[in-house]
Amino acid sequence: MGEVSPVLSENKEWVKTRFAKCDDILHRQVFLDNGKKEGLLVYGEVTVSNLMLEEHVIGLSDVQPLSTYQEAEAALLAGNGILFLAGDDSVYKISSKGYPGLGVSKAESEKVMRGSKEGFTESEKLNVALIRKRIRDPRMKVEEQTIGTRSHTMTALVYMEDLIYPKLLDTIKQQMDSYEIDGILDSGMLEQLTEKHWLSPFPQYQSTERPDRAASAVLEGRVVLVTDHSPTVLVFPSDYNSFFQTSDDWYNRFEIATFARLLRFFAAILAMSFPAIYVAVTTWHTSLLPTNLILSMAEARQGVPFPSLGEVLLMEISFELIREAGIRLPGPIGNTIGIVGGLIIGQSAVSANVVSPIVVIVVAFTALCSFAIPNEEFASAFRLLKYGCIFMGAWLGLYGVLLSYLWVLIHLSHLNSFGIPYLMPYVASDLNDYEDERDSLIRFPMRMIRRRPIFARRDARVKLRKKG
Amino acid sequence: MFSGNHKISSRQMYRNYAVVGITLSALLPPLVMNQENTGSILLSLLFLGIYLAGTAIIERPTSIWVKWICYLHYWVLATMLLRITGLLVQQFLLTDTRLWVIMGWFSLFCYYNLYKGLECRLRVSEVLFPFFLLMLLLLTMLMHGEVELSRFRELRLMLQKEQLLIGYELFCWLSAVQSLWHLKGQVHKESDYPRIIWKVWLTTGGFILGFSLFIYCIYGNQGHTGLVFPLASAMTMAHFPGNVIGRLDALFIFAWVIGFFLLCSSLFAPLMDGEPDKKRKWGLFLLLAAAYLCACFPESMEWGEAFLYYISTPVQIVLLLVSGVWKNNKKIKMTCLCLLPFFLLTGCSAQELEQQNLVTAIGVDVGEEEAFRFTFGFGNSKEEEDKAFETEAASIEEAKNMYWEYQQKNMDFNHLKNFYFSKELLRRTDFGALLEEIQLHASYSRGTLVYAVEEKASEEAKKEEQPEEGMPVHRLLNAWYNETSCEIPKIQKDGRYKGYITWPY
Repeated sequence: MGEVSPVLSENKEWVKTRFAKCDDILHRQVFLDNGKKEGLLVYGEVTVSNLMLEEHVIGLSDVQPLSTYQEAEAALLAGNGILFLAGDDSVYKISSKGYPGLGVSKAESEKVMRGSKEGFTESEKLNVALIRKRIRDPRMKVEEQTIGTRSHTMTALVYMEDLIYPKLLDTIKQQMDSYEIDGILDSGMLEQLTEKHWLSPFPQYQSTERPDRAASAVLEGRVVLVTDHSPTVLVFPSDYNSFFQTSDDWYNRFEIATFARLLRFFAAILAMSFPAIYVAVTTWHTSLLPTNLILSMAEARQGVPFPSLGEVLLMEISFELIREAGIRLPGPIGNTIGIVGGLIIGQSAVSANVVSPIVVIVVAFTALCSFAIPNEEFASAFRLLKYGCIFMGAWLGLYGVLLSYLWVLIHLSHLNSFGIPYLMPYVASDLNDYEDERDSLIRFPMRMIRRRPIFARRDARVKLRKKG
Repeated sequence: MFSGNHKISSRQMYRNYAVVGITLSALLPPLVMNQENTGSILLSLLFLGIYLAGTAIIERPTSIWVKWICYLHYWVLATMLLRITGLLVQQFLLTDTRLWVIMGWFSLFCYYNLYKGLECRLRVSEVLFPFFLLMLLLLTMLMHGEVELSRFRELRLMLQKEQLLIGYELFCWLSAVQSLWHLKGQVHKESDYPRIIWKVWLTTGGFILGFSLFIYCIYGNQGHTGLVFPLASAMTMAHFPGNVIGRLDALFIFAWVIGFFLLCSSLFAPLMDGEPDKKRKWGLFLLLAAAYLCACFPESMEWGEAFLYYISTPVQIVLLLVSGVWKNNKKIKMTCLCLLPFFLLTGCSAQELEQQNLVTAIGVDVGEEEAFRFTFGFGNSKEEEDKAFETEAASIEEAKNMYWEYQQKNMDFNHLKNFYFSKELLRRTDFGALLEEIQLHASYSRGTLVYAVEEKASEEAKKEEQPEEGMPVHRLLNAWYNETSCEIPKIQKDGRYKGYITWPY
């Protein structure tokens, strides 16, 4: 990149080229020394306070001269302002407050044991800055656009210019422009409008409240859609696998991460089908259980007035009510109602002989399984499908459960997220030389995951190589 | 952005057709395997290898007439397999449910799978393959205790007219794998096609040989006689270490039905080309409906087999040779929705736990008025009147019906642990009828233990504590079919488990 030019127009050209399509990087013309000295001030929108940008304040700032464009770029992306002056071959770094810190907010729904605790805020500008804070590269582009004829909600598409498929960007822009709506109040509304398979219970956009997760997606060659007034950003394309991953999967050792992923994967299957398997086994396939267990289960059911299907449905619906009430009630009461409600209703139902104790265990275990799925929307899909599965299990036993699995699998196989098969990398992963499988159900050691997933452009998939 | 180009990855194609081969390997070789038929099995594999190699060399058919002739072949095969799946589920999973209900659901899901198109169908098989394989192999391995490897020495390699005929018939069924010919132009890397063919053949061959030998080492010569699904029947002897799961045959069927689902879907797919458009989807629906209706009639098996052996397979061979020498629809959704309640309302004979009584032991003595006097022990049942039930009947089924008439409860034999036969009964000629009933009904596990009782068998069946070591009924059945003898553990007059009785005398 070389030395800074004393010609201001050349510096201006460099800024324009280098930070093209970076809507979060702004520049303005300034005149110092009573208008005698022309300059160009370049800064990150959120990182530099408005006060500092006043011409009479610049002189009072903590200033450091830099001689190369490289240094200037690094200083700018670190959250400072840079000032070019006409006839001066130095660029001046103006120290600033930098990027927003932990004070912004905490991610409530995606808690991790290890890693950043920061969460997105409700300001689009601040959210973009939180991603920029993690990827200080001018190749990370931010394209802003307003949506909503009345709300004029600001949205931003964040991506790595050299990693994404250009067609992907065109497609999402096309989809965003294909509807005219009066107001977009949350990213969820945008998600529903732009999804291809809008009848599917499975989300085709990954939503996250964590800037580190969003930054990681950008580095994989995916696009992040930030919406103003929404602490949740959308990531696309998404696949089935990405909904099972959490940020600390990459921060922890691979053995632990793999174990956690396997656990979540089986939890998802059980969240959908465990009550159905219980109904199927108790009404059709008693042979599957050891004799002593089935005899004690039969004994526990003595006096229960409902069939297995009825008692499972009763308890499942009670549990859903507790969950719904827990969300709507104010903080401390909401937390308590989950435990108290579960205990009291479960215990009372068993004492009153309305349900057998084993059903309470089944429902509680299923609830645990659904909470183990990291993404709430994704978990909700399994929670909903559970009811269909229960009916099928009651009607046709394990055969019915198998048919339910097949239905879900066929449906998932049919889904695509922006042309990427939803079931990647479990299907067609040979198209990326099986590289995607290294970061799927089993997480390989970090040094073995050398390539980006299939979301990235074919010629830009290498992300790790040994030096020398 | 690569989706929607209708290209199939090599792995998808391999997995789809490997499942087809493995499913057929679990079904067919056990039906024909005996001392002399090893040659037939090898012959069928040779035929299949040549046939598949032919598809690698010769271009896939493009003429619509040739395609439809091929499709007729697949359709007939798929129709028979649809019925076989229905029978399998009915016999091992849903005993009292009507066959047409089971097949109806199966057809509906096959249609749903095909409705979504080629890419979707192959993705389904790609994902299911590891589960299918893992479950099948795991369950098979859990039966290692019943495999007698010394039986290998009994095998003979013969190639007479009978073996040639059996080999040919086996090949006719295996020709289902040949449907991959129609996907030849759609493999992502076309140069991979011969390699896929080779791998599919190798997998199918490996499993066919493996299952043949495995089943022979369990049943011996002619041991499978009378069974429709010998391998599934043998699975009743598999036990999970620690006995944390009861009988494993239900899980085996669970895995096997996945195989049948993928097999039938592959065969019903309309000529395997591209994505089905509106017209094709309707055509497919009609073809599936026709297959379903045909499969409802038992005669369809006989006609299908005759068609397969004498017409369609020879025609397929000729076609291959000739080709080598000469160079989202609302109506469908509504129809499915209308059909759904039709299936849901019928055939559901599930029973709550309290409506069943788990039989843990059956004692059989010689009857006074009927052939047998049965005593059913109900193990740890707390109710005094439920401890045992005694009656005279000509068969277990008849006794079961009597119990229903008295108690309005169903006897569940899935937890049956022991059979007690009186010494006197073992000498009688009508004992064979009882063995036949035990052999044919899937609810009697072949792992159930057998004892010969010097006194009354009924007294042993009534006991609360039942022994857990002994000889499985499977060996008694094998001895009966193979006309060999076996030694049944004896319970003496003083109640001691001591000595053996050689049967037949």
